[in-house]
Amino acid sequence: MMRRGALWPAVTLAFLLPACGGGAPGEQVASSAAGGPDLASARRAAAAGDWAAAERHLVAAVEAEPGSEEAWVALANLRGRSGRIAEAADLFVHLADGHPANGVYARQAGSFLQASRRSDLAEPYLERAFRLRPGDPDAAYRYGLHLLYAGRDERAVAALTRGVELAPGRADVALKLAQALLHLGRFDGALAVLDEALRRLPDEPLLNFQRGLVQARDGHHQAAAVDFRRVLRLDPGLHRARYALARALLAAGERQEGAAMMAEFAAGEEERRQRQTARLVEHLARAGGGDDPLEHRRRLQDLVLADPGNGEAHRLLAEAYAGEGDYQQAAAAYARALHLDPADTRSAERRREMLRRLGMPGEETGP
Amino acid sequence: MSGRGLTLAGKVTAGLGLSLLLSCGDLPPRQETVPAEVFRLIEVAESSGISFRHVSGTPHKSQIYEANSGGAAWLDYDGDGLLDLYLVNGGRRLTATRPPAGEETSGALFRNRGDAGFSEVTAAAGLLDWRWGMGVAVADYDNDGDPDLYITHLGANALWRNNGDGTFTDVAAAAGVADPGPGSGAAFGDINSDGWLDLYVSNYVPVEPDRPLPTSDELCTYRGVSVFCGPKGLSPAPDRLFLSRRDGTFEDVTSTSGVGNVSPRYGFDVLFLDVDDDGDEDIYVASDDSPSLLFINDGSGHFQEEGLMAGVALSEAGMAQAGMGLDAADYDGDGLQDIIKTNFETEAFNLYRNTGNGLFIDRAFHAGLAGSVAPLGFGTVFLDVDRDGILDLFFANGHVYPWLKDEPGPFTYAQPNQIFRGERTSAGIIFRDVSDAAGSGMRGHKVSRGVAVGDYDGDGDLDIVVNNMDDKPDLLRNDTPPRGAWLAVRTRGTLSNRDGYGARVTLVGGEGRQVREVRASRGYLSSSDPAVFFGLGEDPGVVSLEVRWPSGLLESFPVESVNRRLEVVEGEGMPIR
Repeated sequence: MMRRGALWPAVTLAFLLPACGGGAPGEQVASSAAGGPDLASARRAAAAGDWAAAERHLVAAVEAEPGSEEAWVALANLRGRSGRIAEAADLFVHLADGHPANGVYARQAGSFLQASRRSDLAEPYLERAFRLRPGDPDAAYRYGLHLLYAGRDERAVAALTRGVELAPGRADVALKLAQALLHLGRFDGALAVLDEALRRLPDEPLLNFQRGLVQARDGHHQAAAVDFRRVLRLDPGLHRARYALARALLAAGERQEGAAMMAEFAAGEEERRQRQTARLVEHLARAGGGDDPLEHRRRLQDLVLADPGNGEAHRLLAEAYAGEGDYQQAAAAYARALHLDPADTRSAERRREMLRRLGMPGEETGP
Repeated sequence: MSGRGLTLAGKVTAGLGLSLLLSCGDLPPRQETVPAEVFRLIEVAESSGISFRHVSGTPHKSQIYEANSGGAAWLDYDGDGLLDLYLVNGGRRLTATRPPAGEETSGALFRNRGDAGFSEVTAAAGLLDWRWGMGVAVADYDNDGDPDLYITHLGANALWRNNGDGTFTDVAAAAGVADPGPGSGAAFGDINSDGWLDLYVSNYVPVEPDRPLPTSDELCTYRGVSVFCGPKGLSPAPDRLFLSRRDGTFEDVTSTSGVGNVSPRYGFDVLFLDVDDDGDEDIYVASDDSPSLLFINDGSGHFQEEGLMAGVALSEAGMAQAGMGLDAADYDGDGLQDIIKTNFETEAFNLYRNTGNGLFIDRAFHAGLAGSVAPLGFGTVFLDVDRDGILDLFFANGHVYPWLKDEPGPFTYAQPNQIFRGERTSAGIIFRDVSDAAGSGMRGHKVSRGVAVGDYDGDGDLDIVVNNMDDKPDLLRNDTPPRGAWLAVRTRGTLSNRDGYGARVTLVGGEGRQVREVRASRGYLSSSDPAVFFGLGEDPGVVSLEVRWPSGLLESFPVESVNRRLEVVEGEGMPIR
């Protein structure tokens, strides 16, 4: 097992070590009991919330003892937490390249490369993590996600199926598996995955939303309407569920109610656009790629990479991830926003919500 | 059958008890191998004398309008019974005055010599025009028996009236349709069924030669790299609807027709179609980065926008898409016009099935058109490549950001075009990607835009022309071994507009009942041969035709033999009560 916070107060310092479940033999982070004077100073600085000092000490620790995995990992996680995702990716790549049998490093390298918009470099690390850590749902999920976005749907199904088997209580994994199955035209399969996930997580809005879409595509409009109504009860802020509900009602012949719901959607859509335009930085309003949620999220990733200290950008990115159902990345982005602004109660609350949806309240997550 | 698919299904079934992962309600698994040659499309542009190279601004595309041209059109301009070809060209740079020698570009007209070859006749036809072209619409707008050309530009559009002697004259200003645009899509249709074609012009983002749009900077990025700005953040230009005054001129009825009641969008392709089967022409406009528009005609030429309610404005999940190209056809044989729309990468194409009650359902996922990584589609057309009586689908693809040339990953600037074969299954019509088994003409990677279809060599099948950005066009001669007989029907209106645009032609025989609407504008800023083409399958049996004309006249026409091109004239059929 990784030594999660074995030496440091868990609440404040857990993130300085890799986020992971059980590690394979040989994956433990080698560290001395004392960790050296710089590492000890870093711990004290982190405990006092002085992150800049913690980083200085960690850099010194790495320079003084380049073979100290613990210092490298702590530095990588600190940089990741403080929004410097690209730098964290580079550090984990360094660790993964130096320890090719360590699946945790491979997974973290792949995850941070994904998060820093270098997916083309991420694949070998994600594949390695998937191979070395057969019991790690994160490794399966990250690799499956990569394959899904690369258009390799069949292979994505394989990896994500493993992820669902390992973590049947994780909505994000089930959502992506259902999505991959839909792309392959396997509607009944997607529905089965969603139903199984909803048996465990009946109040998960996106699972219900996706189920409604599948039902609607199959012509079961009444059933779809039931799902969309439930979504709106669970998460009234999921505005597009109003559109989907209106469509389902109209298709089911409930024209009056459908038209009223569509009018509500249209009004809200206008308001949403105005609010979004006012809120988003000019960058987002003018860039290419349209309303595609993936591209929207990528733009936010760009913004975060270009301006790691922009808490609002991290918050918006977290929302975008949450909208995609990538609760793990969402939780991590909220954590970064919190790191930058500890008084940000909304991000704290949303992060807890994301962790709850991941079935791991209180635990640390990936990049 | 995919062995991998079965293995995975087995794994999941064993691991999760999800016995329905691959059950009878699903699509058949994708085949990993396809027969050696399903279709045979051979690229013959250059060898046929099509010496043309499209130009659209700079190679690196610093302005959004550089990424959008251009259309293609089939038309018989000289009335010899052979389809000639017009290709729209862009420009090297946007100028208010004629560019210096060496920088001029022009669209080009190629006359079909009848020996499967073409000769360029642009200058002789009076069609040399240095203005930056985007799209083309073909129609006999003045009902004088020959096809005219409407070309959209980044400046004032052109209406090239066919003089009947092989030459054309630009009469746009006099006709009242020199819309400053900048135009993109255009289509002719008779909105009030008075026998005269009216004109819808979709517009994009206003541009002026001396005032460039915001150029690439750190604010306009895509996948982390600076790209041209827009369309988001730029003001869209309003579309225009022009009503024929029945004397060769038009009146701008944008405001009074209801078309002007909606906020402007970034308009691309325009389609006239009868969505609700009530005998009048409705209008669908694909919008880039904004909700697409569906204007329902009340029969008098007054429109109500119903895109949202009908389900063709947004994706199923309520998101605006980057709509590009359009076509409509009754692909599932229920007599109603369905719509295909291409979109941006990762946004699957939309296959909107018309349910007949004012609603469309997107069947792209069911029909096999929605992989997780979609190409960036522009032109699209329904056509029956192999004459088996089932419509197939062609997509002209290509990205808008040239820097993707150097990027790894699934998204590239030049992309392969795609052709999907329509197949009848127990789950309805599905489309199978047979691009890799469709002949040498489908093997290239280009930045494709407009597409138009027509039987230019008169051999009884539909050929395809694709206009490629900054490149030579593809003329895809269809050499597919036929799987059935055929019939091409050209409508000639007498009470209705002379082209018979908007007529509904129903063929009974062959594979059953096939319904087509007569239109030319489709396929992204392009114009196909308006003759409706029917594949009849191997056993056509007794074939008959019914035509519902825009005038309301309903007639039947005898078909004494098949495998030929047939002209049906309004008023010469057997009236149907």
